Amino acid sequence: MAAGYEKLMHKTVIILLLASTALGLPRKGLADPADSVLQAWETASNYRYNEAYRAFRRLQESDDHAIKREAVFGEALMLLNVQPKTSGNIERARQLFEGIAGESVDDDFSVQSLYYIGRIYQTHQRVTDYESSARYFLRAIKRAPNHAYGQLAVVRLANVWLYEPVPKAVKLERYEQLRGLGGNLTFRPARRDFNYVTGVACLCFELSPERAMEHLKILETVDVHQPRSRASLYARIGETARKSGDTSTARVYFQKFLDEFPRELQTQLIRDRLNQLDTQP
Amino acid sequence: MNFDRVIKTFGIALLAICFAASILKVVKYRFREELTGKRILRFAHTHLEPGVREAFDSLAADYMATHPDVAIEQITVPERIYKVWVETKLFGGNVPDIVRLHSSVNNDHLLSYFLPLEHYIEEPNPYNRNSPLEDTRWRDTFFDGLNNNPSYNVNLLNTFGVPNTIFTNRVYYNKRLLKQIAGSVDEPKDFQEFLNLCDTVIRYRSKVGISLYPMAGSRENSTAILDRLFGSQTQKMAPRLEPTNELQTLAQDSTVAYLAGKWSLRSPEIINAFKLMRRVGNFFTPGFLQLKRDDAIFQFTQEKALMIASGSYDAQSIRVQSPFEVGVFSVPMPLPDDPEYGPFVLGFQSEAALGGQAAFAIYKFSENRDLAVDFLHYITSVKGNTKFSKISGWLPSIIGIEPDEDIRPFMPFLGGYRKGINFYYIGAEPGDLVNANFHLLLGPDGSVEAFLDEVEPKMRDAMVTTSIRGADDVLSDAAYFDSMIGALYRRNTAGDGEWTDRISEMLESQTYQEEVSFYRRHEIALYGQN
Repeated sequence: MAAGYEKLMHKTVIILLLASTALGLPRKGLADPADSVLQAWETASNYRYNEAYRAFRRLQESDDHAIKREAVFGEALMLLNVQPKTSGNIERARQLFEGIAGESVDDDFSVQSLYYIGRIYQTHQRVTDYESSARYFLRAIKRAPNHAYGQLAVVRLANVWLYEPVPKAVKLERYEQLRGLGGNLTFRPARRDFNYVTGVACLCFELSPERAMEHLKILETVDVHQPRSRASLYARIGETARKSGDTSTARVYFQKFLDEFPRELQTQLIRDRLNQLDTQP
Repeated sequence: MNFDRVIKTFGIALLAICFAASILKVVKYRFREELTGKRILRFAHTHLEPGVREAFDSLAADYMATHPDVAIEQITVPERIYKVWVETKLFGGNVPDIVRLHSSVNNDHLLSYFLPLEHYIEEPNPYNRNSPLEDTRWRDTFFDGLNNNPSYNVNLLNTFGVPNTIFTNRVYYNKRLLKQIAGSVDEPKDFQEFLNLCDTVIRYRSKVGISLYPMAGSRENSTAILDRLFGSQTQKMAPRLEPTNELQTLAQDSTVAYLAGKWSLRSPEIINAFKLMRRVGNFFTPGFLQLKRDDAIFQFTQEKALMIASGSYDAQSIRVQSPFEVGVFSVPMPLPDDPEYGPFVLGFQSEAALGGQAAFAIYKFSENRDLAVDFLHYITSVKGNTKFSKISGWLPSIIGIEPDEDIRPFMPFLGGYRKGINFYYIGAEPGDLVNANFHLLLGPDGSVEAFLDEVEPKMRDAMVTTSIRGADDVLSDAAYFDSMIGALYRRNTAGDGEWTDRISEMLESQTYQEEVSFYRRHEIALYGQN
C-alpha cells in the first residue's frame, strides 16, 4: 500500500515536471515581442550590431504591425554598421528606410528614417552625395521641425551645405538660410552642434568672424561634454577676438582657458597672448 | 636479438611515458582551475624590459596573498609578434582576461572585444582607501586623467585602458667616457653646447683612432631626438596653419595646409628643420635607420657611442647592461636665443599631454571581468603603483607618488609649448617618404638640396593619400555611432533608462570628427589635384 502510494507520488512529480517543462518551452518562443524589441535595442547599444540585426529580423515575423515596423527600422539601422560593412547592406538599409518613411504614419521612425537616408548619402557611402543628403535632411526638417531628429537634420544639413566645395557666394547664401533654420533649435545637442559647425565654418571659409563669434558664444552656453572641446572653444573665442581687435573679450577667454586648463599644450602660448594684451595700451 | 627487443621496448616505453607526461601536463594546465579550486586571472603584455615582469610578479603575489582563491598568471609576448598573437587570440576566443593596449589593437578590436571602462573610472579606486586619493575618481588619480591615447580613444569616445607608467625621452650618456673625452662630466647646458660636445667626440675619435660616435642610433632611438628637433623649427609656423584659431595644429590641418600652399618643403622653417636633421643626423652611428633599438643599446653599452636618446622605458635596461656609470639629461633643444636655429622656435617643448603607457584593457567576454577590474584597481592604486615604479624603475602613472631618485630626471616637463609639426606626425605616407630618403641628407655627399630634389616631387601625392585616408577613417568611425545613437534614443523614448547625456556626448564627438573630415575633403577637392 505504502509502496503503491510512493509510486503514485513519483509519477505525479514526473508528470508535473514534464508539464511545467512543456509549458515553459513555448513560453520562451512566445516572449512578449515588446520586451524582445527592447532587448534588441539593448543589444545594439552594447555595440553588438550583428546580434541585434538578427534579433530584428526575427521580430519581423510578428503579426503586430507596430512591432513589425519597429523591427524593420531596427534592421535598417543595424545594417548601417553590420560587419562586414558592404555597399549591398547600405543599399538595403536605404530601401528599408525609404519604405518606413513612405508609409503614411507620423511617428518617430518616419522622421528618423529620413534623417538616416540623409546620413547614408552623407557618410555611409564611400563618396558623399551632397545634394541627395541635403534633400533628405530638408525633408526630415520639414516633416518634424520640433523633433530631436528633425533638429539634428539641421546640424547635418549645415555640415553638408557649408562643407561642399562650392563658391563662397553659394556658401554665404546657404549660411543665411541655415541661420534661419538653426535659430530656434530646442534639442540641446542639436543647438550645440549647429553652432559648432556653423561657427567653425565661418572661420574655415572666412565667411564672417563676427558671425563665428556669435555662434561660438552660443556654443559656450550649451553643454560641451569633452574638456578638450571646451578648451578649444575658449582658445577660438579668445584668438578670434584678439585678431579682430576685441581685446577685452580676448582677455576674458584667454583667462578662462588658463583657469580651467592650466596643463594643456596651448597653455603657455595663451599665457603669452594674454601677457601681450596686458602690456598693450 | 634480446638486446634489440630491449631497446625497442625501452623506446616504446619512453615514448609512452613522454606522451603520458605531455597529456598530464596539458590536462593539468587545462583543468588547473578545477584542480586548484582557484580562479585564474591571466594578463598579457609586451614589456620584457628588466624589472617590469618582476614588478608585475610582485604585485600579483601581493594580490594573491590577500585573495587566496585567485591565481594570477603573467604572459609576456615579444613586441614584434604581439599583433599576430593578439589577433590570433581574439579570433580564436582564447583571450587573456587583461591585455596590454597596443597600436595593433585597432578600433574594431576595441569595440568588439574590449570592455569600455567609463562606468568604473568615475568611481574612486577602492584600494586607495586611507590614502590622499581616497575620494578621488579613479580616472583623476592618473597623471593624464585618462584623456589620452591609448587609454582613451577619441574616435570611440570611451576609455578602454588604465596605464601603469608614463614614458618620456631623454639622452643617456656614459659618464666615464665623457670625462675621458671632454675632461669633465658636465652635461651640456644648451643646444649649442650639445653640438659642441658631439663635435668634440668626432675630433677625439680622429685623434685617438677608435670607433666611437656621439650618438648610438636606430630608427626608434633617432626619432626620439630628431622628431622633437624638427618640431622645434615649426613651433611658430604651426598655429598659422590652423584656420579656426584653435591655437593647436592637428595632423590633418598640416596636410591640407600643405595642399593649399600655406607651407612647402621650401618654407624657411622647413629648410632650417632639415638642416638641423642633417647636422644632428650625422652624429649617429652609420646606417642607424636600418638598426633596431636593441642594436643601439648594444652600441652604447659597448662604448661605441657616448650618448643614446631613448625613452624612460629603457632606463633599467641601459643601467643594468652598462659597465659604467650612466647619466641622463633632457633632450637638448634650440631655444629662441639660439643664433642658428632659434628664429623659428617658441620655447621649451611641453610634455604635459603625454598619455599613460603600459595600459591594460579587459577582455569583454572574460568570465573574470570583475576580478580583472579589481586587479587593475589594485595595481594602479597608490600602494600598487608605488611598488611598480620602485621595482620596474619606470615613472609612476598615478599622481602624488614621489619617484625614486634614479628616475626623477625622467619626470615630464609640464610647462612650455607644443612642438610644431613633423613628417612622422603628419601621416604614414609623408613619414615613409622622408624616411626612405633620409640618407640623402647625411654624410659628406648628402645635402638638404639633394634630399629635397628627391622628396619634393613626391610629397604632394603622399599628402593627398594620407589626407584622403585620414578623412575616410575618421568618417567611418564617426558613422559607427549612428546605430548606437538610434538604439539609445529608442531606449530613452521607451523608458528603458536615461540615455540623454550619452547620446549628447556621442553626437558631440560625431559632429566634431565629421567637421574636421569634411573640411579636409573640401580642401582636397579644391587643392588636391595637380
